[in-house]
Amino acid sequence: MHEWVERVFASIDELIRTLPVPPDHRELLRVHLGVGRDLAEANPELPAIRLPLLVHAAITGDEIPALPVAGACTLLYLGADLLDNLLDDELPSVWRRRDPAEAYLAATTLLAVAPQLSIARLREQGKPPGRLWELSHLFARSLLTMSAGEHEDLLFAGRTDVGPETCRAMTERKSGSELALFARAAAMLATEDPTAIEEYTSFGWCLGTAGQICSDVGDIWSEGTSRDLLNGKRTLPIVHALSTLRGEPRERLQGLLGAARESGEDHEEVRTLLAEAGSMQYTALVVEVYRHRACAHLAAASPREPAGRDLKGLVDAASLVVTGQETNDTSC
Amino acid sequence: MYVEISIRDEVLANLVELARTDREFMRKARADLEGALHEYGYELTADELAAVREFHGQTSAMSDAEVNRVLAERASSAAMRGA
Repeated sequence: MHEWVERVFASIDELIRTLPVPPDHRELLRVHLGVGRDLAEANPELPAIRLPLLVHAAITGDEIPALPVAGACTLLYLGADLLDNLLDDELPSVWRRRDPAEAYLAATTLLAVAPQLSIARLREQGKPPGRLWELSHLFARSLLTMSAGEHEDLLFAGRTDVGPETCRAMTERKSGSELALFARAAAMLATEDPTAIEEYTSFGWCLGTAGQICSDVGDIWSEGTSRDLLNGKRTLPIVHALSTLRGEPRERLQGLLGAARESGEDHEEVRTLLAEAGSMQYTALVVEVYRHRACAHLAAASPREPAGRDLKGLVDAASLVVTGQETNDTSC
Repeated sequence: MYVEISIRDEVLANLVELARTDREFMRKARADLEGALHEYGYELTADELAAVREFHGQTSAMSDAEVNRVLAERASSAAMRGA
């Protein structure tokens, strides 16, 4: 396991161990922490862990003081992940032995309570109460924005009148705000310079949105059945095709999207129609705009190395057009 | 918390449509991207231009079907690594 993953989970383990609750409740919270540990082992660049540490190191040269913030971000991410699993009926196998009501309880605690307690541990570093209150308030406001974005995502399902701008705004609220929180919380811990804090916040916002759109495209174009098509989700490629196609092709797409909610049989035909509408190319171009904007905000923040290079690596991973080795981007 | 990001979706969608359907535009864009954009009336922001340049540089030699195949492959790998 990567060193930074071990450090963040050690910080979380220490927090859970000292919670003033009965042992059974501690064990309940540890169930999804195990899932998170496996996830982080497979993907050590998981933004909830990596982004706060890198932003802090990019400002101060040291990532260690940001461990409680990275712990808070990871706990919030795991709470949101568990809630998603519950809503999509895709609970990991470790939860199958338990009542789903317990999973809801764990998700709520991880999402709303545990991050606040992790932030409170910054008192041990001598952080003033005013800064802790600001961080705590930041988590609350960001969670509210994420919740509003998730709600829109649910409300848009099955609709045919959602435009690209509305869809992007929903994605920004749902996912851009989450990575903006991870970056901003670390920046607020590292500096009082408002310009640097805003640049890292905007960097996280653009990175989170680009990453989510990539993931949405990946869901549709991965082999086999698309979870988003089954759930009637209105992600950017779908919204683009619905707003671009006219007449018979549009009616055909609408019919196919309805059928795609029943089974995976029509998913390949949906993919073909989206390709014919140029939706993949349009979406890849939008992702590139967010990626370049993220690069511009990072460059404006003048990050220290080597953290700056690692942050740039996170941006390059959120592209459908380039890989890290190929990029012609000179803005970072 | 909200960060204002302005992206001109209609401009980008029109440009993608133009690139996919107008061979003359693509011929000119391969020779001089910015000149072709200017000639067809596209005044892009710095971010939009950088994105178009990157996209054009990676895909201009490919057919429509090849572009879709390459993008689909990258999207699948992005989904697998949890981008």
